[in-house]
Amino acid sequence: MTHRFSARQTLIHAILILGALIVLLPFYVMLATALKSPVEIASGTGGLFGAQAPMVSEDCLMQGGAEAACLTRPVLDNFRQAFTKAPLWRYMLNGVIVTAAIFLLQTLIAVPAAYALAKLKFWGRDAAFALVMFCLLIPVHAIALPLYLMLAHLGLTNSYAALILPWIVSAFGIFLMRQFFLTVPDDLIDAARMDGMGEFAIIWRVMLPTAIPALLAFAIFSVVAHWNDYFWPRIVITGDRSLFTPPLGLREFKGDLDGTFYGPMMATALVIVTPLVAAFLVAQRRFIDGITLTGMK
Amino acid sequence: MPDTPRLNRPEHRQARAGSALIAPAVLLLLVILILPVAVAAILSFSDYTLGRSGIGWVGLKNYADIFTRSSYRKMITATVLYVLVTVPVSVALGLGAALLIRSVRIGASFYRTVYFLPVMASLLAMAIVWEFALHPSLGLVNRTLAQGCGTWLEGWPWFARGCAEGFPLWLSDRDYALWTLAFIGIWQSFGFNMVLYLAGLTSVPRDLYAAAEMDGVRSGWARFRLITWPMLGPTTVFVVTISTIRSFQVFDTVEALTHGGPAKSTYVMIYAIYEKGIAQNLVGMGAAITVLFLGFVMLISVAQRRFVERKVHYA
Amino acid sequence: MATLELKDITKSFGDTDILRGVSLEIADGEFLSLVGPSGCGKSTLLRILAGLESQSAGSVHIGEACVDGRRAADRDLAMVFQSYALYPHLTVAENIAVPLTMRRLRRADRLPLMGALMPGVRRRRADIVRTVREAAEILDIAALLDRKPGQLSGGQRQRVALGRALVRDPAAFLLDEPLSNLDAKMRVHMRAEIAQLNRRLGATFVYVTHDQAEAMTMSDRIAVMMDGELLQVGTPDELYDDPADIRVARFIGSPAINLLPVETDGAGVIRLTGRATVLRAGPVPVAYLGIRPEALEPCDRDPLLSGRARLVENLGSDLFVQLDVPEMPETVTVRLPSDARGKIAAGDLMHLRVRPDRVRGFDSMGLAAPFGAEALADA
Repeated sequence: MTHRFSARQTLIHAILILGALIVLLPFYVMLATALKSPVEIASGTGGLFGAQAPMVSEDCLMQGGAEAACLTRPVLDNFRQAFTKAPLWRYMLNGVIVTAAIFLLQTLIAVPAAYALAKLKFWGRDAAFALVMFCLLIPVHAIALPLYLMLAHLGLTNSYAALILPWIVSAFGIFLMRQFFLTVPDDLIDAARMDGMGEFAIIWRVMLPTAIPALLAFAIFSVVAHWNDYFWPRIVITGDRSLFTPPLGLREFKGDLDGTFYGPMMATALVIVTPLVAAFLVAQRRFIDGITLTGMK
Repeated sequence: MPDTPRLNRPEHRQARAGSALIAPAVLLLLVILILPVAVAAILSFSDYTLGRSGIGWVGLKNYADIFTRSSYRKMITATVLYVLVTVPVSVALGLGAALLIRSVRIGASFYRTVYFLPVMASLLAMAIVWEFALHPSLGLVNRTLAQGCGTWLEGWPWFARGCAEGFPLWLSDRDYALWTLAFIGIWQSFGFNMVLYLAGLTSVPRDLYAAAEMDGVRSGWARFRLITWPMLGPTTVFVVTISTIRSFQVFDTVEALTHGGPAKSTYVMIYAIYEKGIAQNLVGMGAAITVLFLGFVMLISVAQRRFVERKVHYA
Repeated sequence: MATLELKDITKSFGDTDILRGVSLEIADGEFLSLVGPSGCGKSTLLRILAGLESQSAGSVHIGEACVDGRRAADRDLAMVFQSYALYPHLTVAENIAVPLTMRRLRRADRLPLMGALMPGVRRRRADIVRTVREAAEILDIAALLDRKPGQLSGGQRQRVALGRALVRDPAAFLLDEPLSNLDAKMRVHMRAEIAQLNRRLGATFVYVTHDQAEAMTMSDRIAVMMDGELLQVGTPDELYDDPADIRVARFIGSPAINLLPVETDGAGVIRLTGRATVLRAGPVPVAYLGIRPEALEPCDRDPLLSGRARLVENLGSDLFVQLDVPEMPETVTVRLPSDARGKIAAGDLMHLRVRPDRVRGFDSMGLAAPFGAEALADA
């Protein structure tokens, strides 16, 4: 019995490991390439992680550096180029600013609306909820063109506002928080009213703290979506590097390729991908629960 | 009520607070989501371009073009084909991975983590990595394949041809490009489906399996048909819907790797909207494609809601 | 401490009347229970008193003042909720302190860092901490002050909810089915504690429950509500012995009162299943006799009722016998003392009589119908 079972288990593990290898393949390619010298990349040598033999940086020479000063290791040269050929720090900062601003504004707008929809009776509530449900059907990416035209008419393209504004109201966020608020007992709100809280105090001091799991799930959903978003920034940011988000910056890096740039480009990709992947690896349970919660609405 | 001013009644205070709290959200939903839909619908009947004053109305011409011109027919073919390939495979792989992961005694969380990684990583960044991995000469994939030359693998005609004439240019051969993009799409999304299926599986009551055992259900397949698959019904409806809507919106890989080519074989709708409406400033055409696209997406969502309405009530 | 007065309160939603003219005065320090089946309007009445809902007509007075239009927080009432309504993210101490911080500290004082710098805040905060501790000691939860509600048992949460009401020293306590989420044993225990708390604080308690046993054991007075109306307000004894309405009779007491359909003939003689009884109707014809199970006693001759035992329930202290009486639509319940154990079995024939002063009559509308004078004389 045990024997038959373990044969079965072995087969399952074999399948799962094969799958894992395919899934991890590009991550490996990214990491390995970011560590290798141009010669190793071009010839496909260098083993898994490159030999890290000392080399002279071509890029450094072209910029007029002395040969001795340009002696470096492949990994160092790749990352140095990633950060000097393009303002990568700036891109990262922009990514943080944009994702944080989007999430904060989404919360600021969605939480009171969700509270009103879940717990207050007022004229037009059903209509407002119907509007939210309808808006859930509209992917923002699909209406990018008219949104772009509207922003262009307002003269707002190539600005932080253009990156942030279309996302500040999330029908999904309102819906998710409303579903969560529905489970908060009415008694708790009445108790808060008896204790002397107004509706605003109830939202921020009672509802929000009880809804932390839902809010966290929404935060993960929102940050992952907007840190990785490429389509919208691509449309509204044209040319001005100081406004580039990380994916835009990487895309620009890809512009001219002649073999020698693969190392620095993969280093850039690694820098861009790492924050979320690292956060996920640290707080896996939270991420998966959060994605499940936002997924299953 | 004679002695209490109406406005002081708790119901009225609540109603006032409710309207005030919902107002910003409603206003923004109307401006940011509803108004653009209307704008797109109107502009789709025009030849408007950004920067030119005045607007010419062309009636249904843009729509007629979509259905008659071969490049737009190719657009619809590419989009539908991409969706039809990506969705079933990524849903099936998601379910398969979830079932396998549920059945292993050790390492479940390791596999779950690994399979979920692509969902976290920027698709654009990973697309560029894939492009490099699939590079005809430098890429790991073709190099690895080339190592199989001269072995028994050459018994496979496709492989033998690859060894003789070079392995495919995955992204610049029109016979392969769309399939390669679909593969990247599946690679990126099936972990998400897996996580949803894992959640769905935990909500299947264990007692059902015990009852099935008592009722004489022996084979794993019979258990799956009798319990697992029907119990996962709502999950499947949701996973299929969300996968479909997401794959309809594929853009990053197309823009970064193929630009809709070769020969429009990967000219999907969102990319067409971007290229026509924004890059080439043919706003009317872009708007018409937008309207068509919204139609597709809403049709799917409405179908899904109809499907689950009997089971789930949001009110 | 204050009296509470509800004057002719009505409440309707569209065409549905939830409350139809309820008037009630509650004395200072009194423990009054509002009891009735679910949906009778008792919770709505309490919420109107609290200021969480408004009445369609009528007015609410606390002490001397009319409080209509005053918000719930400004009515100086404390409320304990069925689900306890504890803030899940705050500790027990913080939960109890909320009504005090919201009242004693201004908005600016409550800010996390700034607040500490405001004049007098430190002293007021210390006062709050002391008050919270005192309340916790009264309720025997001082050891739990640092826990979160999620870590407490039902009974402990109940005490915290009471504590949150207690610290405010309110004009009156409103309790909305506070015990219904507890298990049976805990409920009996807490019921005694709440009654003692009422006596100890000398505060006015308004207690809403659907459980007549709770109302009977705790209250000074009980108000029985049904279908949005007050049927009777009185002490537990009055309600038990002299129900003014057949619905009150039915609602109070467990097992339920026996209600026997009777006829009153032209001469005022009350006939049970066609046979004349010793009872005589007063001015109003009697349609039902109400007899408590313990008022019936076995006898050998001249029985009021005879029937076969269908079911004998032995509770140890008592014996309940369900009796099938010919021509009676429902079984008749008899309560016998424990020494009857073993002497009666299902299927046995029993003859029962009753002392006339322990029978109550009701007319065809269900209102109490006093007997004529001669009926009592016969006894």
